[in-house]
Amino acid sequence: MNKVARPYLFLLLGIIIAFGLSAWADGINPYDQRIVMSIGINMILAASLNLINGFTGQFSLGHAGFMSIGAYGAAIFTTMIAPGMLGEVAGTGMQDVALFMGLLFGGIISALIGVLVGIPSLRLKGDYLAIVTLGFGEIIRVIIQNIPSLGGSLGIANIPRYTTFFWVFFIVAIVVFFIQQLTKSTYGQGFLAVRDDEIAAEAMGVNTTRYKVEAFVIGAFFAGVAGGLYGHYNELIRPADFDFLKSVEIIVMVILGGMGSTYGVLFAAALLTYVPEFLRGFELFGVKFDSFRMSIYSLILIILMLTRPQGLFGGINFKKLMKVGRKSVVGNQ
Amino acid sequence: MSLLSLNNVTIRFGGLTAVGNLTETFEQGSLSGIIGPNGAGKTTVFNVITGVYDPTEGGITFGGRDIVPLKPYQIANVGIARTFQNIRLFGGMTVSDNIRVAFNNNAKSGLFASVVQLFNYQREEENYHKQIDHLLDMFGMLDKRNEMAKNLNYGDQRRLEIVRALACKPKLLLLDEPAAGMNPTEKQELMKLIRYIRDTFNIAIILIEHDMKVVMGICERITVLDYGHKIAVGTPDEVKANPKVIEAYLGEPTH
Ligand SMILES: Nc1ncnc2c1ncn2[C@@H]1O[C@H](COP(=O)(O)OP(=O)(O)OP(=O)(O)O)[C@@H](O)[C@H]1O
Ligand SMILES: [Mg+2]
Repeated sequence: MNKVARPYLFLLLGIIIAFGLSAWADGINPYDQRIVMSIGINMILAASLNLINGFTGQFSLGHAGFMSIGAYGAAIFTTMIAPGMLGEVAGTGMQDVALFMGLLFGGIISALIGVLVGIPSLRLKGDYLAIVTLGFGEIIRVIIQNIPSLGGSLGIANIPRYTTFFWVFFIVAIVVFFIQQLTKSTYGQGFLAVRDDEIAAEAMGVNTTRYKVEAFVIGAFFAGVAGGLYGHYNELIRPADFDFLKSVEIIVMVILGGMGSTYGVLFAAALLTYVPEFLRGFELFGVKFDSFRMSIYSLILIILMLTRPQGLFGGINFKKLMKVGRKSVVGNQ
Repeated sequence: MSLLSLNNVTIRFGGLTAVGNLTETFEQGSLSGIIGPNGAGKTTVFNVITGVYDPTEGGITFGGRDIVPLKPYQIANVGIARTFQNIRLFGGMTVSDNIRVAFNNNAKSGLFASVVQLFNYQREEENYHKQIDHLLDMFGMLDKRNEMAKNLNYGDQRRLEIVRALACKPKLLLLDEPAAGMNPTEKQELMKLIRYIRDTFNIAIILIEHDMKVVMGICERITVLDYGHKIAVGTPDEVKANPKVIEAYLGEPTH
């Protein structure tokens, strides 16, 4: 029973943290608020990409593309669809309902496009898949740029600021719960099997295509939700916000955190969001780090990848570590 | 009715005929061997049975059902499991999770039930773990259940591949050179193990093996391939005495 309850307690804890964070962060200055918010959104992006890249071993470079679909979808929902459905919602309790529905709307559209893109492209492996998903992300960006009703390259402005700290970290908790539970389940072993050896997985009855598409679609859904949160915080979305570099940024979080390690990836998302901002104001012996902070950021990445190529948390068998820990406490029986 | 029938199966890779016109049947509960020099097409026969390759010509039926149109995972699900000549474990997963993969296809809990993990899920999961532990215990690997597969020693890796295949509850088990790289004592144990599997699980086994002691020691019937063609079939004694087989192995005419 304990085994059943524990993940739910963790989820509850996550939700309490989300409450705590929102109580705390509402009082800090807007600049720091923005950093905390970005950390949360990047956590959702990185954890969801980790299901595709880390757990299922499919190298996707199109996550920012799915994020943009969700961002535009949610913005369209709250600005154009919701007023018709819910009336005037801004400032009322209904704004959370509108946001929730908008996130769901954006996430679902993103997931549907994930199916369309995933089925043909997941036949490809490794570099080829990376190139195709990269191409997809860029195509989405160019398409949006050329649709005048979506604002072209100026994007959509005046999106209502519905996103709160609670929403962001509540969804972080949900994503973590979802992915942890799934990848620990018997059903979820299929994702890991696909990553480790596709031929062996098929030989054991694993429908590898289905698992790949599912990972891709779940990842796309949560990336879409993250996009919706981003738009309803930033109040402005432009195609350029979701370019190739954004996808790379998320990939780096996944790799640095350790492919397939959810907590490692969350940590990396926080670290890599915070470090460039921290360096912005950092001063040592009168030298301002602001001007070459990106070089330091890159240097940190290089050093980390050289010293821990498997990622900060990658390749650690926590089950065994815990066993060893317990044994040494109990003593050798 | 035979369990597995290959009817005039031919597989060509470009100009190379890896398997030519192979007709062969394997019976329920039988223990058969496939032997032949390097490159004779033995592994290719396994690959075509399990759907990794489609036959260029010919048909394959399993339990009377045409399995050529099926995808590899579907063939696994109708009851054919295998091991690989070059071991293919899920290296980054534990021993126990390597086996757990076998249950993903009969898991009643789908995606969302697996996230929620309430109601029947826990009972199902306990049931899987019981089966996994039982299998591991049978093969003397229970103490390694939380070990990463890639950290196992060679013999255990080979054994885990067999355990994992058995967890798929096959009617037919294909073993591709299970004795490769083993020392004589390990080979003796492996022979015992294969007989034991056949008797306890009551399944048919086809074995590819270069070690003649192993093949002759346990197989009831042996098929000999050379350059993709069947050159002999029979009991170990018949095959041993067949001049064509001796020629294929020694490379010189005996007449
Ligand atoms: N995918 C492929 N593409 C091209 N040629 C192949 C392919 N697979 C196998 N072959 C060729 O088919 C022939 C038979 O190979 P196969 O692996 O079946 O031999 P084998 O009997 O298992 O040999 P060994 O005892 O060395 O394992 C070889 O000449 C091999 O090079
Ligand atoms: Mg071979």
